Amino acid sequence: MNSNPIDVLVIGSGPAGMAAAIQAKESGSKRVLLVERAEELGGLLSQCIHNGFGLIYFNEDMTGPEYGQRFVEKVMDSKIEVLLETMVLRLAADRKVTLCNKYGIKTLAPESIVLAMGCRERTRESIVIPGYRPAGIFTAGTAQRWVNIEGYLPGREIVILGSGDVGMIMARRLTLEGAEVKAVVEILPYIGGLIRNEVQCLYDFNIPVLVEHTVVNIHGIQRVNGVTVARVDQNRNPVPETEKFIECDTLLLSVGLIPENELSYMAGVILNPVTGGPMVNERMETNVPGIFAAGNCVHVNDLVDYVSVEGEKAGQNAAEHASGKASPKMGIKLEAGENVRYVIPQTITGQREVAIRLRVKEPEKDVILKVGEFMTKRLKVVKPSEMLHLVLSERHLKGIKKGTAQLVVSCRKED
Amino acid sequence: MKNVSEIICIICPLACRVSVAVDDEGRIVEIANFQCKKGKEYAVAEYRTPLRVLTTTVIVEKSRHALLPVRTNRAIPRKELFDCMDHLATIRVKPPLKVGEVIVKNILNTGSDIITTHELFD
Repeated sequence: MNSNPIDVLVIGSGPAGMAAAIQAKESGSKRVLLVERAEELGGLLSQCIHNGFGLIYFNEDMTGPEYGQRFVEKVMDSKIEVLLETMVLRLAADRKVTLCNKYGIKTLAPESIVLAMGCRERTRESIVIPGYRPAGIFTAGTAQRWVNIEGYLPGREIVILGSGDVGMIMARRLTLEGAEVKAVVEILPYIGGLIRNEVQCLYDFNIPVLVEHTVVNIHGIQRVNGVTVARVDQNRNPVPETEKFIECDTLLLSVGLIPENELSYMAGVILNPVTGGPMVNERMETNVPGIFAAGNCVHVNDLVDYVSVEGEKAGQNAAEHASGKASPKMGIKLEAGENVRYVIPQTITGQREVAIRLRVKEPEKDVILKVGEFMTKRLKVVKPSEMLHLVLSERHLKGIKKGTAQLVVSCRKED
Repeated sequence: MKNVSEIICIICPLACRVSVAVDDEGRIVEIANFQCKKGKEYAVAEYRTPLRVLTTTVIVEKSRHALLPVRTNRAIPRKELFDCMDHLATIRVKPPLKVGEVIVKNILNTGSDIITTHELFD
């Protein structure tokens, strides 16, 4: 093995990690190492066989595997070192990384690290559904892997709890494969995912949707034989009089995603309790110098295209850090204000153009999006499921008063 | 006599519920509740023939992989989706295959080919 030190080590080879590695290499890093625990590059893209990927990044409508392939080819062509079937066991604040694979355990000390571990699904345990513990309860992503890669149908009569994108995509997929989706149950008054999935995955196949409902009991000893659903009140508490039984053999859960950050935590990276991911500055750098982060381990994105862009940004800045370039001072904090759940990045220089992303808490019509006092934007509609993008140009930033330490980003209903 | 259908536009997050009114001969006589030209065009096309890209898998033989993901290379009428699924259930593929190779030409005369979306080796 090459004895020169590693400039940039990327953990995770999903869309964020591949983009980061490619960009680090293109930005001049000599040695870039991409570490992946699975057998192949691409992360979850290979099981996301539906289309809708790449519309922004490539201006093409692609499937997950096709989108991934473009990046895999680039990784292969650009002399990035790849370690597959390799797990990162430990990450320290001094950037020492302990890897484990079939050849043994090894500790490396790269100049920069990009965290790109992605996210995982919330389970039945994380939302605490009462009832028996029979076979037939899966997360939507596990079902997706079974149906699209392993070749198993998880069941015949299916109820899906949660209307996130993966859940809706699986409702269509299972219907096409011959299963009957008896209901998609959503606790909120509106569907959780993208509008195109609502139309093309649910309405296209006349799948019953129960909003403001939840699953309150799971029945069956060996195998699921039904679930009890109930309407919820304004405080999201189930109303007992509205309980009804739905016969089914499978319950899929699409109830949210959690950024995967055990390693970040180990290294002393400060996590944002709202996103579950690292606090990052406009360079996608965490509070630990030389540790960068991108993609769904920072915050759960709705489109892969944005993940790739974030990965590139982290990769480029990780390469700059590795070459010894000092990080500029991030003097201004971005705070989430009225009806804003979170803002990424959390700190900026205020000196140069910066792209910010944010999510609202509640859907609203005719709003004014405001950054501090100097930037306003009117929007006809905002939804928690659709991430908002803003570019603070240098012209905008000139409006920041000297000595400003924080800017509040708010999304207020127009009077 | 007018018949009114509601088409949810998927072009942007506004998700306009465009109403399309047709007369007895099926001619569109009125389109309302859209906010842009794209939305109006989408609603007309969606009313006449909803088109969808079918993405699914086919069974793989002589490989450690069980399935290979495939799609139609262009959108097909929505009403053909299940017939295409039935046809694809009879298809078997073997390695090696690259991304974008044609597995079924002009499936069920829709004018669309079924192509691979992932490579398949060994």
